[in-house]
This record gives sequence, C-alpha cells and structure tokens, in this order.
Amino acid sequence: MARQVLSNRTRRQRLIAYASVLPIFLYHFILIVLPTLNTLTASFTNWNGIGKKQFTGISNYIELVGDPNFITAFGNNIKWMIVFLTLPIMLGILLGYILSGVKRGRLFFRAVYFLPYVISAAIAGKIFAAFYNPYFGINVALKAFQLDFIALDWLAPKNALFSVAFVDMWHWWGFLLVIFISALQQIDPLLYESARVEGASELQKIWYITLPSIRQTIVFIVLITMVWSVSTFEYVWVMTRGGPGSEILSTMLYKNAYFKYRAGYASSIAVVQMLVSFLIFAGFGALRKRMED
Amino acid sequence: MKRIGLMVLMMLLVLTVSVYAGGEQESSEGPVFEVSSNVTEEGQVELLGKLFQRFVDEYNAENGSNYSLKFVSGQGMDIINTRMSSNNKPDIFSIDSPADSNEFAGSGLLLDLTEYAEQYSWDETIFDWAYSLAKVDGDVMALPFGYEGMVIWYNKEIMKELGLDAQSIDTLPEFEAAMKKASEADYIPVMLGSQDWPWAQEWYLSILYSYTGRDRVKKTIEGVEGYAWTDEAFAETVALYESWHDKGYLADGRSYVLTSDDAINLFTNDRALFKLEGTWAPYWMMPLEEADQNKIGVMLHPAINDIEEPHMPLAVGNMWCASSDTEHPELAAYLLDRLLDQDIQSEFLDVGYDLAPMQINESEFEGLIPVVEDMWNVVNGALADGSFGYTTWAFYPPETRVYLYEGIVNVLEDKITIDEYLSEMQRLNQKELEQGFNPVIPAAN
Repeated sequence: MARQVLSNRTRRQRLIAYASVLPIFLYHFILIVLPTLNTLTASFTNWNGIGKKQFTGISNYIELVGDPNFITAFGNNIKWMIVFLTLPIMLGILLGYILSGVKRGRLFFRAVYFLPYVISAAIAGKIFAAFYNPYFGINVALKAFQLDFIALDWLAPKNALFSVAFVDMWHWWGFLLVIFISALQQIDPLLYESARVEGASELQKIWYITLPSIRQTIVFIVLITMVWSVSTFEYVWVMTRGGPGSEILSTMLYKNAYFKYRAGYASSIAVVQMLVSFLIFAGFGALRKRMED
Repeated sequence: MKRIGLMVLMMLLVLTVSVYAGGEQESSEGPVFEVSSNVTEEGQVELLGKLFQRFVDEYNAENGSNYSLKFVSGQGMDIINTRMSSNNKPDIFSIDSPADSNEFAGSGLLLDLTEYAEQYSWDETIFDWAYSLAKVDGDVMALPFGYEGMVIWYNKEIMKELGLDAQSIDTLPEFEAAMKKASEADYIPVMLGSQDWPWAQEWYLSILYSYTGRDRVKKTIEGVEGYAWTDEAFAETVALYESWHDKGYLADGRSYVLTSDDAINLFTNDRALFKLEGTWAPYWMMPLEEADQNKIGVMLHPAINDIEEPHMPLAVGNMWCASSDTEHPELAAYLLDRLLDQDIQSEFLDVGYDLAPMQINESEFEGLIPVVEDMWNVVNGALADGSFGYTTWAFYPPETRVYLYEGIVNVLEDKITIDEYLSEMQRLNQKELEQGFNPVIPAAN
C-alpha cells in the first residue's frame, strides 16, 4: 500500500516535471530544432530562398571547400576568435581584480564599464565609423600629438576586421568585467589573508588563488567567446557589410541567402558554423569532465 | 493544489501557442487585404498607408465590398523573401528590381497580371521601357514603379573658384582636366564612400559600364556570342577607374574606406568638387540650409569615349507585385493601377518617394527646391530622348552584380588583376544564365 502511494506520488511529480518543461521544450523545438533541421535539409539543395528545393546532394559542401571566399571568411572568424580570447578576457580579469578591491564607488565603476554593453550595435557602429573617418576622426587627434605613424585608414581592407573587432570588444568587455567581478567576490577572503601573512606578492595571489578560484568562470567565458566568434555578425554588418577584408561566415551567409538567391548554399555555411560550435562544445565538455575528475 | 497548478500551466501553454500560431485573422468587418512595402522613411510610410487606405475605401464604395487594409512597411528583400517562402504571404508587395521579380516569377510566386494590364491599359500609360520590364516571358508579372538614375552632383562654388563650367564638361579630357584642377587645388575631385554601403561602388560602375557601350552591356549580360566581360572595352574601362583611384581623383583613393555619411559630409562641407550618387540623393539635400542646397548642381556624367554620349543609367525604384496566392486579384490589380494616378504623383514627390514611370504633368514638379527641380529636368530630358543606360542593380544577374562591386575593391587594392576580375564576372554571368537567369533588358536608343 505504502509502495502504491509512493508510486502514485512519483508519477504525479514526474507529470508535473514534464508539464513544467513542456512549454520551453515546445518553444525550443519550434524555434530552434525545426529551423535547424530545415537548414540542414536545405543545405543539400539548390534552394533560392523563395521557390522549391531541388536535391543536389553534397554539391554545396564541395563548392564551399573550394570557395576562396569561404576560406577567407573562415580565417577571419578565427582571427576574430583569437582577438576576443585574449584582450577582453585579460582586461576583464585584471580590472575585475582591481575593482573587487575597491571599497567605495564600486557600483559607479561597474556601471561605467558596463555602459557600452547596453548601447546597440547599430548606434555604436555608426559612432565609431565617424571616429575612424580619416579627415575628422581620431586621426586628427593622433596627428595633433605627432602620432602620424598610427593614424591609419582604419576601415581600409587590411585594417577593417580589427577596427570592427575593437568596437565589438569595447562593447563586450564591460559584460565580461561584471561576470568576473561576480566570480571574484565568491573567493574566500581568508585565502588572500593567509597569502598576505605568508608574504605572497600580488602576482602570486593572482596566480595561485584568483585564477584557480575562478577557473570555471574562465572556462565558461572562453566557451561562449569561441562559440559567439563563429556566429558573430552585427558589428561587421553595420560597419562594413562584410566588405573586402572583413568578410566573415555570417555576412557571407547573409549575402548568399538574400542578395544572390542562394539560400541552399547559405544553409551549408550555417551548417558548418553549427558543426564548429558543436565541436567547441564537445571539446569543452571533455575538458570540464577532466577538470572535475 | 497541484492539479490547479498543472491546469494553470497548461492554460498558459495553450495561450502561448495560440498567440504565436494564430497569425493574422480576418477581422469581423470583412476580409483583410495586406499590402507590404519596402519603404522605411517616416513620411513615405505615412503617405503610402494613407493612400492605400483611401484606395481600398473607394474600392469598397464602388463594389459594395468590405475589405479592410493591413499595411506593413519596412519589408526589405530579406523579410519579403522569407515571407514569400512561407504560407503567410501578403496580397501585394514591393521588391527591389526586375532581376528580383524575374526570380520570384520563376518560382511561381507572382500573380499573372496580363489581363489586368490590358484592362487598365498599362501599356498606354507607362513608358515602353518600363512596360518591357513588367514582363517575364511575355506575361505582365509586376508593375515597375519609380525611376531613378545615376547622375553626378557638383559644388557650384568650387566649380566657379576653379574657373570651370559644368556645361562645358562633356568629354573624358574635359572631365579629367577638371578633376586634375580640383586635386591641385586640394579638393577631392569625386566623392564616393562605400565602406558601410558597398553598393556605392556599383553606382559608379553602372555609369562606366553603361558608357562603355549600352548595346555591349546588354549583349554581354544576355550571353550573346562574341560578347564577354573579358572584352578589351571593359578592361579599358576598369583600367580608367583604377587610374582615377590611383591618382586620388576618386575620393582621395579612399572610396572604400570612407562611409556613405563621410561622403555626404565631405561634399556638403565644400571638400569635394563632384559627388557620385543617383537621383535619390535629395533625401539628404532636403534638410540642408537653403544656401547649402543652392550650392549643389546636377549633371549627367561626362562621356568616357567616343562611342556613347552622356546618358543616364536607369533603374526602377520598385517592382510592385501581387502574390499568386492572393484570393483578391481584382482588388490587387485595382490598387496597383491606382498608383498610376496623375494627381497623386506630387504627393510622392513631396516625401521623396518614387514616381510612376510615365509622363508626369509638369505642374506636379512645381514647388520643389531648385536643385531637385533641376534634377528632374535632367532625368525627364534623358528619358524623353530615350537616353538611358543600365544600372547594375536593375539588370545584372544577382551573383555577378555582387561580385562586380565587391571584386572591384580587390582590383583597386591590387590584390587581383583586371583580367582576373573580369574573368570571374564572365564566369558568374555565364553560370547564372545556365541556371535560368532570364535577362529583361529594354533596348536603349
């Protein structure tokens, strides 16, 4: 009898659990899973984006491998990823470490550094495009300080990718800072106190206490940075439309889908992006497992 | 308690699904007719919404029907492509160019308007070149609307300061002499900025290729034997463009570094003699001070050879189409035809919207700012002479077109040779023809 009651209760609890996740599952299934499957099937067709799909096997993937634009765009995504994996993360940790020691005005500093994150890509892109103007932008200031040698054509093809990445970093690293400050505040102050008593330097504190303590957060940030670097779009689109020197996978995808009537080919680019993201997730899953072990 | 919680949860779910899946329902007042437009400018959105409402009301009054209008704006090609591949299509909608209507018709998405075109005598109302663009394989599949063309704007004060006269800059030597003079006086000869708007490169290339030879361009796009993008004539044209870039005549050698806003600012701040832009440019001239507006003049780009006289590469602003799924074809055709009313054209002019491609009464152009009035004189003069050419965005196959304006930057950057650039254009043009692109190019005079 007791077992029967327990069984009914368990069943009811399961039912409630399923009912609770059902809305979000349906939401995810309709808006993520189905379109993903649709993209996957479209990548094996010569779909123009509006008409009927005609199966063409793996021809889109064969073309992709030999497409110099794809190679360039993929390479630019890798460059983008490298930039974002270094500067903003290092800055975020360093400034987070400094700010977490600030007793007064911490909220003010946090708000100031976080502010760029709430500005839309369209607005930030337009503002920085004006800064980059060779006639009346930052170059005027650089020349005034006799720094002509760094007064570049910032949006010229050879500089465009990094100039745009800088704008995105300006927007992004405030977010990282807030995340890192939250993680740093979880560290037991006694550890620093013990280190101080033992005579550890600031660098040693960072290396032996701070970094190991926020390892999980760093791994998470590295993971999302890598995945977002594969699918980044808005800053490049707003500032250069993926023109020469700044073509990335997402802009290439967009142009093929909407300007060239090659939605099938665009889908194959999306599938590659998805696969790369999966690989990154899988790699990190394995890494996390090793860390936990 | 748990049961109540579960029920609330299920109700929320049902509510959510019904909100997202419900879509547009016919109102209790009658069937809903949806008009989808690509306009984004506030004044144009307001005017179009108001006009279509008036037309629907008049149709209802004449026919005893009770349609209600749903007007949606800001539907660019990315959005309309997605909607037209769904089951929720608008009844009538605007798309960018004949190349697009060609693609849509090929996919069976457009209502055949031939019988309505005959009923409303569109062939007698709109220009012949426009009517030819309406057709796909002989059937009227869209209503071309609006006409825009490539012209060149100049700063009258700089022109005067340099001792130049716009009326006497007709030929390549005269044009190059003017650019040299401007450059020596520390002005930027021709302003163009394509960094955030790569299509700005095709504005100039539309002129240069058209000036290379309109018949040659037409036959090359159509894939006529003996014509190719790799012909010496096109190579010379690209070399000319590259030489202007190298000499700094073209935006100080920074046409792809400057943004479209930079180009406007530098021109309106008296830093450049010429500005290359089409007949849509009044949108940024209208808000200028009167004195600044009066500094601007407009002309056709000078010739670059002895083959072609100065002319205006032409494009249509929009292609208005009806969906093949519409259940109200009569109303669709009626609304499209009403866009050709003579007495509403001045309202379009007031908000900078496209004009119907037909002979517009001169009185409609009264009251415009002088530079815009001058522009329409240039445009209508060119059209009256049949002196039009081909813009890339209206007539070229889509992939070829994209490569045309992206690839040119690699030529200017010396990353590829002119031959490599033109060979790729030829390859793409040929490929698109083989894949079914159907060029619709009216013959020019």
